[in-house]
Amino acid sequence: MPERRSFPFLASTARVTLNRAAGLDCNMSRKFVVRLIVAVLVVAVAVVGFAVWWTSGSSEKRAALAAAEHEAPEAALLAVLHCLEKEPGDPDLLRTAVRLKNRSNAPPIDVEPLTERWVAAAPNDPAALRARMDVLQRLKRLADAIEPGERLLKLTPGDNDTRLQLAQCYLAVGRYDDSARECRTLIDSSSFPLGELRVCLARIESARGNFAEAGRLLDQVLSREPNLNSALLMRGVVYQQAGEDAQAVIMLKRVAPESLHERVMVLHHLGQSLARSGQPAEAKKAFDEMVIVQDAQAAAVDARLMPNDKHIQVRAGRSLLAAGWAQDGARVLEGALDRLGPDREMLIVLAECYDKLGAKQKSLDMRNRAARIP
Amino acid sequence: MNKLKFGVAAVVAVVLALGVMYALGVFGPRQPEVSPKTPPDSAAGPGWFVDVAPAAGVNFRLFDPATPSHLISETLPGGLAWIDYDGDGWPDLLCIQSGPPVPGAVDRTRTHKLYRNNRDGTFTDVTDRVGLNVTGFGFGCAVGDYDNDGFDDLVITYIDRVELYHNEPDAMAPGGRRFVNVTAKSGIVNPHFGTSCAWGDLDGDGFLDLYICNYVEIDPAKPVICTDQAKGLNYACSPTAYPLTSHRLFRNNGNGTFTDVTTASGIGAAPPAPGLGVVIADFNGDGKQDIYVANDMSPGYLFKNLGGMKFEEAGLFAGVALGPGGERIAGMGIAVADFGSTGWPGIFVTNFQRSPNVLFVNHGAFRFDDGTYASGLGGPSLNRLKFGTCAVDVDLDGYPDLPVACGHVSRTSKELFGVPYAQEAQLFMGEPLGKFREASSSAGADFLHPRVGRGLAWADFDGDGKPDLAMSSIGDPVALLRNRVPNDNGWVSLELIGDGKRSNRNAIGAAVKVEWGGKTQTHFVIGGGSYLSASDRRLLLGLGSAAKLEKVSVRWPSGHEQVFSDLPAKTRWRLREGVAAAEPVVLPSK
Repeated sequence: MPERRSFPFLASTARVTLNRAAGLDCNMSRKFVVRLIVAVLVVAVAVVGFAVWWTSGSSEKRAALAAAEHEAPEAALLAVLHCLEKEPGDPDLLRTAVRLKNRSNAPPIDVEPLTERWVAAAPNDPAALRARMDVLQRLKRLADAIEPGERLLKLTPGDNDTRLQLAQCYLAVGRYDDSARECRTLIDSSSFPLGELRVCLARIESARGNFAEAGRLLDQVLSREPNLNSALLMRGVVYQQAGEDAQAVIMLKRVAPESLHERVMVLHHLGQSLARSGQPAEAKKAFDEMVIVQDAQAAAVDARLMPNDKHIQVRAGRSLLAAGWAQDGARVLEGALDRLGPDREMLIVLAECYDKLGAKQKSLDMRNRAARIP
Repeated sequence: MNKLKFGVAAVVAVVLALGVMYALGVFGPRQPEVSPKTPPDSAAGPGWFVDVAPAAGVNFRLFDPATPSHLISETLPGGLAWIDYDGDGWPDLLCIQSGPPVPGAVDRTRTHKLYRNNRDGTFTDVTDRVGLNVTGFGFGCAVGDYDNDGFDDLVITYIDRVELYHNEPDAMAPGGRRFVNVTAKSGIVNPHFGTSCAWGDLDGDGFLDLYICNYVEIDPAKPVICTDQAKGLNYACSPTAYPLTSHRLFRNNGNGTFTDVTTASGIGAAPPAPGLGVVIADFNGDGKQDIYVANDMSPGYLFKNLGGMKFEEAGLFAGVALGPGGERIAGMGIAVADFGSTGWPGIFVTNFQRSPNVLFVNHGAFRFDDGTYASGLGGPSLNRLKFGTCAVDVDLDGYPDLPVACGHVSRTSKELFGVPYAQEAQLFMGEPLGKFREASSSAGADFLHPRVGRGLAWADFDGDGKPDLAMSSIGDPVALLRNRVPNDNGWVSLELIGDGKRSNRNAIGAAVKVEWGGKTQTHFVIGGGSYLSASDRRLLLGLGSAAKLEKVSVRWPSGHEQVFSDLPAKTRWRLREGVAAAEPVVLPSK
C-alpha cells in the first residue's frame, strides 16, 4: 500500500539531509545555513502535514470499507460516500459503493454514475465492467451496455453469461450479425442449454425477416424439446409472421407463460392469429384478458409513483383485483389506508380483495368501516 | 562540499517531488476520469440539412411553459404547418405557440406566427395582417379546404378548446387572403385538451370532416404532480394517471357548419385514450377513409369505416394497437407510406425512450404485420424519445425516408432516468425491400443539434425539388432545415385537385400508383400525420436517375380512376379530377 511506504521514506530522507547538513564546510556562510534550515523546516512541516492528511484519509477509508463488511448497507454507504468526496476516483471505494447500493436495492439510475466512475478508475477491472453492463441493461440502455460488455468479453473471453447478454443487446439494437456470432460461439463452446441458444438464433432470423430459417431452427429445437416454452412461443410468433395463423394458434395455446411479459406476448399474438383465422370471439377473449393485465400493470406503477392520490390507489386496487391479483390489490389498498386515512371507496374495494382471498372476517370489517363513512 | 551538495539536492528533490505531486493533483481531491464519449461524427458537417431559419427571416421561438410542478401540458406543445394560404404554390409556414399552463394566465405577447414565403428562400411575418395574432396555449393544427373554395383553412387545438379559421379574400392583406375565426358558427366545440387533428372525407360527400384527438382531462385548479420521493424532484406524470375523455369527430354539413357525431359514429364507444397522433387514409382500399390514432400508453385505435359515418374500432384485431411484443406504445407521431412496397398504406409510429419506433406493414384487408425490427427501424431508435415524423424521400432515390424529431418529456430526465432532455433528431433512409438505415450522422450538424424536439413537417419551401423540413422544439427557435442533399436525382411534384363534388378538393384519400424505371410504387394523399403538424399535401416523388414518370394512375376519393403518362423529371404537375391532361405548374417568381 503506497501510504504505508511513504512515511518511512520521507523520514529517512529528512534524516539523511540533516546528517549531511551537519557536516557542512566551515566556510559556508551563516546566511546560507539559516536558509537551508528554514527550507528543511518548511519541507519537514509539509511532509508531516502530508503524512497526517494521508494517514487520516486512509484510516477513514479503512473504517468505511470495514463498515461495508459489517454494518447495514445504508449506514456503511454514507461512510463510503463521505470518503469518495475526498477520493472520488478510488476504485476500492467505488466498488464498495456500487455493491452497497445494489445491496440496498437502490434504483439503477443511482448506481449508474458510480459504475461510470468505477470503470474510469479501473478500466481493466472485469468487476467494474460487469457492474456497468448490468446497470445499463437494468436501465434498458442496451446500446450503451454493449461497450462495457465488449471490453469485458475481451478481458474474460470465457465469460459465457456476458457473451449471452451481449448477444441479447446486439439483437435488441439491430446488430444481427454480431448477435448471431455470439450465439454461435455459445452453441460451440458453452454449457448453456442448446435449445435456448437455438431459440436465440431463431429470434435473430425472425428479426431479420427470415421467417423460413427461423421456423427451421425452431422445429429442430422442438423436435428434441417439444415443451420448451421459449421455443413454443417463438414458433407461434414465426408462424404468425409467415401468415400461418392456424398453426400459430396451436403453438401459442401450448405455451405456459412464466412471466407477465410472456403472458401478454402470448395473448397478443394469440388474439391476432385467432382473429385472422376467423375466430373473432376467441380473439376478443384473448385481447380482453391482455388489456386487463396491462391495465393492472399500469395502475400498479401509477399507485407506486403517486402514493398520496386516493383515486389512483383505488383504481390500482380495482385493476389488480380484476387481473386476479387480489393479494397485490389488498397490499396496495392497505398501504393507502395507512397513509391517507379511511376512504369509503378504498375500503369497499379492499373488502372485495379480501372476499377473493377468502378472508371473510377482514372483508366484513372493511365493509363495516365503509358503512360508517358518510 | 559534496555532502552539502547531496543535502541540498535531496531537499530540492523532496520539494520538487512534492511540487510535482501537487502539480499532478495528488493532494487535491481526484476527479473521476470521464470515459471518452463517442467523437462527433466527422460526417455530421456540413451534412444534408442546414438550419436557415434566421437568415430566412423565420424567428419564431416556441415558448417553454415550464413550471416547478412539471405539469403534463408543459411537455407537449409544438405544432407546425406548411400551408399555401395564398394559393401561389409556395408553401408558407405556420408555427403554433404555447402559453402559460396556469388558469387564467394569458400572455398577449406571444402568438402563433405565419410566415409568408417570399419565393426566394426567405419569409415575411404576416401574422398580424392575416388575423392569426391569436394567444392561448396552442398544440396541434390541421390544414384543409373544408368548404372546397380552393383555399386551405386551418384548425388549431388548444389546451381547452379548438378553433376553426376560414381562409377569406382580403385585398389589403398580404397575398390577398386572411383568416377569420369561424368556430362559433361552425358548431365545432371541444372544451378539452386537444392535440393532433386531421381532415378527411369520412362520409364520402366531398366535404372534409374533422377528427380531433383529446389527450387527458386536466383540472388546472388541482394539478396532478409526480415527485420522485428519493430525489425530491418533480417529473411529468404518465397520462395513465389522469381521467380521460373521448376524441371527437365532426361531420361537415357542407354549409360551413359541422355536427358532432362522436357518439353516433361509434368513435365515442372506444375506451377513452390519450391521443397524440392521427392520420386519415383508406387502409383497406374499399374507397372509405379509415382513421388511425396513436395513443400514449394505451392501445392505438384503428377505426374501420363501415360506411354511413359509422366506425368500428379494430386496432388490436388488425395488429396496429400494440408494439412488437404486445407492449403498449407511447404513440406520438405517425407517418404513412407504402412501407415494404405492398401497395398499401403502412403505418410508422414514434415511441417513448427505450421503446422502439414501431412499423406496421399493411397487407390489405386490415391485416398489418409488425416490421419494427425486420425493417431496421427498431434498434437505432431505442436511445431517443421520439415525436414528430413524416415519410418523405429526402434523397429522391425513390424510397421514402423517415426524419424524426426527438426530445424527452421530463426536464429532470437526466437526474431521474439517466437520459438527456434535449436530444438529437434522427433520420432513417429507406432502402429496397422495406429496409431502413439510420443516416443521422449524414444529416448535418444543425439536424443533430440536441433539441427538445416535437413538431416536424416537410415542404419544398425553396422550390428546388428537394424536401425541406421544419422542426419545433420547446424553448427554442423553430428550425428551418434546408435540404441540400448532394445528388442530382430526379423528382416530380404532383398536386391533386379533387372535383369538389364527389371528391374533396384537397383529394385527401387519393391513391397514386406510379411506374418509373421498372418500378411500381403507390403513394397516398393523407389527412393528418406527424405530431401536431401538417406537411405539404402535394406528393414529391423521388425518381433516382429516371428521366420521367412513365405512368401515373390516380384513384380519386370518389373512386374515379384516371391515368396520366410521361411526366418528365424535375417538373411540377397539377392533376385535376376529370381533366384528362396533366397541367404543368410553374411556380411564380418573386
